[in-house]
Amino acid sequence: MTILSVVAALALFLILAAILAQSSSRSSAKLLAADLDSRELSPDCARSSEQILGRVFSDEDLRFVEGLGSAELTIALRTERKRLAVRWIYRTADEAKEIVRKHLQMASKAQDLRVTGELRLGLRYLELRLLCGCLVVLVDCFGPAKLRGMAARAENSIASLRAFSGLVETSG
Amino acid sequence: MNKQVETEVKAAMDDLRGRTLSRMPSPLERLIYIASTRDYNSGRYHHAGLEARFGVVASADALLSAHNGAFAEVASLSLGQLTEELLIYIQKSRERPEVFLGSWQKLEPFRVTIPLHADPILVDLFISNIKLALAVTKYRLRTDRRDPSTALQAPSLGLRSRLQPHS
Repeated sequence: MTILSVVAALALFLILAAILAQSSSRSSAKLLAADLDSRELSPDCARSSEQILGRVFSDEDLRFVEGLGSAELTIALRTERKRLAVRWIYRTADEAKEIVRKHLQMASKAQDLRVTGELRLGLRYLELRLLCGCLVVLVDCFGPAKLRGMAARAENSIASLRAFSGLVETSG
Repeated sequence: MNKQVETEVKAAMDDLRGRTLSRMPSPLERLIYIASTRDYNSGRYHHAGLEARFGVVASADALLSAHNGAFAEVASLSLGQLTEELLIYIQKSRERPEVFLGSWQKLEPFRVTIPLHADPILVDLFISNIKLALAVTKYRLRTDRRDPSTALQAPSLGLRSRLQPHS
């Protein structure tokens, strides 16, 4: 019985230590990434987003590398493009979340809310999040080269969310 | 930016394009040249000729704008185009391709060509593409040595002779 208690106490101690270590590493990572995070959602990013989309979600480079006949190079390209595509998808989802968060903040103080407008924004946001979720899974399974259409749809959705938030900010 | 400064920046940009950048047909070469006018410590751009004609502020703004444009252009090149750009640059550097590729892969000097406020994912794409283009060039160099009949095609014809094994 005593041994069991000691083992249980030791296990609890280890779990607590692991949680503490994880939270401290998360906060230090946050500290280092603070600058990057704010840049990730700058207006310049919106401008270069289409450029990234055109290159990362395209099969042109894959065809070029496959033509060289090197399996190593093909794997390297596929891995890199997958990584970049997933990063772009997460940024798009984060940007959408940020736009909606800001909008909700403004809406909570607004006197003249239009239900249809709010509903449209909510649906557009849900569609985008769903699209981003599907894209992450599909990119992971098949790579980004054949998913340009879906990525372009996500880009259109985020562009309309940006336009909507710009419209609200200028009118408010 | 007031109207006068705006006009001066535009004039400085036209001058930079007309006198200097037009002589560099390669986007990669243009990017490396413009980045070399930036001070590593302060991030400010300096160009004696432009500053003398248009002033420090207009000159720096023109160089910054040209830098962002050149970076965006290189970052969106296809891997095939970037590999050709790299071959042209290796050729112009007059360095042995093996030495050039080795030092670019180890030291990664291309990182200093990134503008200060570039989109982080575009930066990631640029670095990734340059690394892949270096690997492609290295691979082609190796296969050319094994089979000279498939040696690198134009515009790398000048480089071609230097890629042959030394006898």
